[in-house]
Amino acid sequence: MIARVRFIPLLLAAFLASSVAAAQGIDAARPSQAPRFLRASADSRDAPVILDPLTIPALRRKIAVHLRDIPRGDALRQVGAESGLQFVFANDVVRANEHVTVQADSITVAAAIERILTGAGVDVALGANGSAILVKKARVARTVPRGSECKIPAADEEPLPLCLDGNGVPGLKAFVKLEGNDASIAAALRGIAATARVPISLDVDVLALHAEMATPEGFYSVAEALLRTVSGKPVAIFVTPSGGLTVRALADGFSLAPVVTTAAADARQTFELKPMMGSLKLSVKDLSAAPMIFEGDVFKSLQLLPGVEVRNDYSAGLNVRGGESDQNLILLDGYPIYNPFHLGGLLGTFIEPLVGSVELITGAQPVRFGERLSSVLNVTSAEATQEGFHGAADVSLLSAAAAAGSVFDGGGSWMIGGRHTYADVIANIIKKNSLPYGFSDVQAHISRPVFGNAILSATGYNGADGAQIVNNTGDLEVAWGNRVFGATLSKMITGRRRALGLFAVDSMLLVQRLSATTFDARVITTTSDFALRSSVRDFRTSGAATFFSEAFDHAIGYEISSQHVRYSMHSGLTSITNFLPQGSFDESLTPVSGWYDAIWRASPKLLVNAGARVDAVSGTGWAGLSPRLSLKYFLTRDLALIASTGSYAQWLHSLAQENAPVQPLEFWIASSKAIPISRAWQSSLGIERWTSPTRQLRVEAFYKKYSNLIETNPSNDPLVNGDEYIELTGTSYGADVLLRQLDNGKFGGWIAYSFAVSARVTSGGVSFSPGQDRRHALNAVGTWKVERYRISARLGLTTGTPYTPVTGAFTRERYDPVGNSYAPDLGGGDIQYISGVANSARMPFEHRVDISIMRPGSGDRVQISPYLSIVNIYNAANPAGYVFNYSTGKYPSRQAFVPTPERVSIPNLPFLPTIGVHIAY
Amino acid sequence: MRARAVAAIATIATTAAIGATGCIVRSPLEATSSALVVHAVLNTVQDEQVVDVQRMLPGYQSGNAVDSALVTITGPDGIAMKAVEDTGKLGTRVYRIKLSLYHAQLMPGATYHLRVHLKSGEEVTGTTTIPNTQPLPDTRLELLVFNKSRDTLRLAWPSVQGAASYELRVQSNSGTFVMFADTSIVVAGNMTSLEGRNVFENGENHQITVSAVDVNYYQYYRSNSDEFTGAAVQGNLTGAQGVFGSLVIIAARYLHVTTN
Repeated sequence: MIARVRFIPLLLAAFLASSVAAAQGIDAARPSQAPRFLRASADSRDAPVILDPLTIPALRRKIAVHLRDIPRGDALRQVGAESGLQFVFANDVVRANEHVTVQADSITVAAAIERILTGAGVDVALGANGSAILVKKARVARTVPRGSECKIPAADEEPLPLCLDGNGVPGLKAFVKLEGNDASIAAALRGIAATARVPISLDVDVLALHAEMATPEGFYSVAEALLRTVSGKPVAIFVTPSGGLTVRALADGFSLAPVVTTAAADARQTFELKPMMGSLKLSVKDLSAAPMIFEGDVFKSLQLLPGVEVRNDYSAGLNVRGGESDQNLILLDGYPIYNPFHLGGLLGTFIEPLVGSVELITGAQPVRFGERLSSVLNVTSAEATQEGFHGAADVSLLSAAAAAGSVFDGGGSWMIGGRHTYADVIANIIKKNSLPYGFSDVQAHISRPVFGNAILSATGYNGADGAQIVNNTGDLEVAWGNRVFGATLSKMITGRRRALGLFAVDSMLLVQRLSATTFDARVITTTSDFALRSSVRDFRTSGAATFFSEAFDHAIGYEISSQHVRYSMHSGLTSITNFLPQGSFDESLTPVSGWYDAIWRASPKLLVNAGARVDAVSGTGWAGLSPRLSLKYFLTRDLALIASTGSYAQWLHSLAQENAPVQPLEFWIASSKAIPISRAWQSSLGIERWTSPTRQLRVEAFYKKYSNLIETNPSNDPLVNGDEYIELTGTSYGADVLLRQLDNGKFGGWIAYSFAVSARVTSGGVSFSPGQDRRHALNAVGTWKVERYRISARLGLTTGTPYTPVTGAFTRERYDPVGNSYAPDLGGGDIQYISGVANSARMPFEHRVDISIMRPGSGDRVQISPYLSIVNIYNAANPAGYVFNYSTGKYPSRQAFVPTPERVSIPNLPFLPTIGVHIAY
Repeated sequence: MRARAVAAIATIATTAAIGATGCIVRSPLEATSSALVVHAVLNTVQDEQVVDVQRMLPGYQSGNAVDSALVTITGPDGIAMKAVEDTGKLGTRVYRIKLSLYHAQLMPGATYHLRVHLKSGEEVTGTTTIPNTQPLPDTRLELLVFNKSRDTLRLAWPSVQGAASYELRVQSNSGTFVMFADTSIVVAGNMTSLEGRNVFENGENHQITVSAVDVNYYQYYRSNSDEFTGAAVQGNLTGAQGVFGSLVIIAARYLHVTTN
């Protein structure tokens, strides 16, 4: 049915068409036979305008046209080829097989289009990148009001269609943030209306839209949010004489552009409007395409994306495009969080029902993000969109989680949830005291309209992990936890004005944030002279003002932080210092940052993002400039080249040993006058193509050059201050490929291939491959809907990470000065290994298949969805590390001894079936 | 519900069983490599200096004796003192140098050279400089009562030129604990190792010594290799694993440990 569907332009165009009619007061009852030319603004927030085609260079151009009695579709393609325009339309919008004739030696493109489309009942919406989208005019206009109708109808009048300006209903001018969660259209409409304190009624047919998901995201007026939510659906929203809303089904099949899935909007919108590289925004629904390991986990799904590596199943850190695991800025609603992991990295801390979406930027991070060299991960809280008390619960073999929320009568919403593990209880049933460990999380998010049309939101998170072993030889206490509290006040100001007296803007968004983040970890044995303490105190305020205009989005911002980072470790009797250095750090920093960022829509084919960030970090004596530039050039409307380059700085570093296969936590220290700021310069070049409205192919190559990387010194001397770390330089280069199929109702998923080559160089000039230098990784992830079941599967193929081979072992003898003799060393230090060249060997090729099968619930009030998940379905032996035993042998006969030294693998997760249930109510 | 609980537990049990055995891979390693290991620590209170020479072969718990090696220690006077082959306490092959045979004493602050020459032609060399202090004349001290429930061992000593660190050694019939410290240390009576072993055992006598150690000794014994990070023990010998270091005993106590 669809000849060529390009989702976003069509959606925009459809929206535009309706809005034009509203804004311009066009008499929709008697549409002109000739097509009109409409301007699609970049973010479609503005009321579209009808263009004079002769003001548009592409339409003003003169061409020769000799079309005789050929199908209209072919005629459009020929004019498109001559003019450079790309026509996009659906067969049910334009009768493409109807024959037309146009002959002229010199005719403007606009005139040619007019002649081809006259009588076709369509308008032409010009997209941002040379696309010309055909939209029906008559039917669209039927559903939208004329300018004079943008009001509250009189008591005796019929309801009037909702306009962009809200028809004068006060609540409809307020602004809401749509999070793109899994709410149905009906639920979303109710939620948005509740935010505005506007009563809404849905007729029976509209209620049928319960099955369809509404996932538009962004900051909109309530009126626009409502219109976006129903965009492309056979429904219309009307304002009643009482100022309420009623949503009705359209009897004759309202014919806007077809919408396949609204999830397409995000990825495609990013492609069309942002020149950023390596940016992926995924809803929880997208992430759930990956099979679950014990339970749904944002972090586990992120590990399957292009450019992202993990050492093994037990490492908390992500290695992004060759970077170290401490180079990722992890944010919850924009507030930093320092160790969001449980169970040594096996699970993330974020409670899935409370996660709205996740944005991962693996490449050119915008200048508003500082502090880290490699990536930004921003987890956005889910927002309730339904009236009444709603929520979800997850029960797995590890833990139980529950979340609940609702919308406020006066606008806004709240959501709170928690999770607690009982893995210890189950493990201890199998074997007493086998797992003296537990964790819990509590997370809450609230948003409320304040001061008119501003939005105040707040997020809180408290997570705690702990283990305590008490016995007659001494107590061991292990505990760590994150706490985050942050609040954001945001306000969208509409209306054309001059910003800062410098430039004209159509609207502006002001955002102010405050946050407090803490992280505390301690491992203490009361009687063993062992104490490890690590803590971070991060208090910050930041703000930004973004000014939107047709060609530019200017943004300026600032950030002031107070960071107090402490680390201390003392271990008199153990050899743990190979993994964590003995020493103590206590640093307080006050980083002050300012930035300017601009997106310039230089032409329909060229997007430019340029900016610079200035950081001054008191306590280190360092100040630096980090300029960044990204360009996107559209070769066609579905194909773009992207290039970026930029500089990055980092002043918090982790002492976790990157070469250790298990990294349960990051232990942070701060730069000082002695510990330098780490810097990186990274450049990327990529190409992105949309082969269909729901299929995205992205290939990006990158090169990163690092200086002053801070790494743990495994040879540090506890009695020497300042040798706890070493400084490295290095490079990483590679490429990653993403082939993504957006959920089309039956299938969704992606194939991600990552290639990265990393090298680090010591101050002595020794070059080596760092522990994260996994060269190739391929993850194929998909979710199929098969009748009443949802089946998810993941195939992972990776080459091995480097490790230092052990070539032998010997017994270390300890000298007894009183007995004047030698005996094998004490405290387990007798067996010492002889190592080969650092990281000169590689773990073997790994492969694994995981699957999950869920039966989604279908109840009216409560949906119960049980699932079975199997990790490593064929029990592939993928080693996470090795231990070596050089002191074993056997006696095949009484006289002969045959040594049998062996290498024993520490396995990654084996065949691991788990069950659970997801409950939504 | 009960059936579900049983199913859940069965799943975990199955998983644990598979996890315990299913994916572990054992790969044989080459059994042909060997490592020459030499331990030599000069002790200024001893007339007899002991050098331990072993060859580690894969598959064996301890080293094999190395016979007929030529072991010499050369002091600042340039005289090479030759060691005599002997058997150590645990039956291992050691080489002993009796200083009095050479009318010599180890001189604090002086530098000594070790040379081990094997029949195979392999040669091991190393150098140590003895911490520059006079040793405690006698470690046989008065027996003090130490109530581990109540008492804390507190020791402090002056710093020694040429000492990289100081080694506290607590030795009893139940075991030995060693730890490095700067110029003082505090050991609580109930202190244990991370494995849970008591430092002080009730009813036993404990020999406490503090030795100033040279940098070779300190680096060798403070460092540990591990299979995961590739870290290696920091020896100072050329041609072998091991250490040629030196120490001077500077403090000692003799405790009888009791408890409440």
